[in-house]
Amino acid sequence: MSVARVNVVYKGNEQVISEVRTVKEILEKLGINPNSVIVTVEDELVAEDYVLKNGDKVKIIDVISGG
Amino acid sequence: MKCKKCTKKAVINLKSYNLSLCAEHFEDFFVEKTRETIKRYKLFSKNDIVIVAISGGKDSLALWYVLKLLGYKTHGFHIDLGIKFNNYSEISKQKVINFSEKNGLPVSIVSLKESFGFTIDEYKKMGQRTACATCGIIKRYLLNDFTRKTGADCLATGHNLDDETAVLLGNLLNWQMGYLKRQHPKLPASYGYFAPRVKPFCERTEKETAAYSFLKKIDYVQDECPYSENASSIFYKKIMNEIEQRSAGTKLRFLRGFIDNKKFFSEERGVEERLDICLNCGQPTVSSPCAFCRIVQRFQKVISSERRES
Repeated sequence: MSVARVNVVYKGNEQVISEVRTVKEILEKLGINPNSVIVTVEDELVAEDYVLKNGDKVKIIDVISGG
Repeated sequence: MKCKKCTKKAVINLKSYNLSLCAEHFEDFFVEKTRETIKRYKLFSKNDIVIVAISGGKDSLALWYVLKLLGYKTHGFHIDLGIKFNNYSEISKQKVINFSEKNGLPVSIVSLKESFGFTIDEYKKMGQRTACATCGIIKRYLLNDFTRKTGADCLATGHNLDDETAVLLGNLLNWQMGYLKRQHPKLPASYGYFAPRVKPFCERTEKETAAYSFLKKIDYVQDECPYSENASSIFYKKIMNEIEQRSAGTKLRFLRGFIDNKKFFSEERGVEERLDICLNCGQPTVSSPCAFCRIVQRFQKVISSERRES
């Protein structure tokens, strides 16, 4: 499994993240609890073990609502 | 990771069930589990008319969608709270209308401003209570009022497992015995006035409802209510998610354990606490006027004193 450089959108902010292999590694790098988000890659829902490719567009969607 | 039911790629890993599923099998799982919850807690039957409280968020819209799939008779009810920040209420209302039209589901909408003369924004400006507490009182009052007046059998809300366990944690930490006594997936009718309230998603996580809404292309409001940023429920949800990450299935065990041991929190089950009647609206209440009428009266008082001064 080789490392990838991907574009990540989370809470309206876009950033490039390098040296990651899976979605799980992105969440770990950003300190996000997997129970609190769903993740899409190229607009498809993916599980945390999804293997990333260079240039993938990753979107992290917060699912916690309050009030 | 492959789906446990077929050879397709899994889109979600449900650790509490030790189950990875593809999109198609997750959708089936989600609907089937909702059906099981309705049956487990005897929430309602196919003959009942269910009012669904629709905020425009993922949980309420997904609930409405699933109840329709399962063949229940539903009617949506939305409250326009008049929150102008980020156009929040207008966008929410539009999403509800669009969903209703797309799925052929009936909906009624009440505007707080048109019916009672104020919005949550206006009340917040003069408020002593937090916006969430005021909003909760208003929603509970109007939802019950609508359910009673339409003669429907119950009121369903989209509260999910994360909502329920966050509330439970908060109530236990503060020993809120009154609230603990009342927390259940099904609150029966009471005082000949309050309609039964049910929570068909009480065992579905927030992640599941979001994943289901995404897969079914349900167009929901993703922005959070601007007033809920510092809500304690969000803090408790984060704590529960940390525990869940270390020990999968904790949230479901926590809720079910509480329900199974409910007797420890209920004195004289079935005996209704004595209440007064609100002299303004007739609702049973601890003291008259009821909390809702106090909110309306307080706002009207401020408005009339402002008019006198100007």
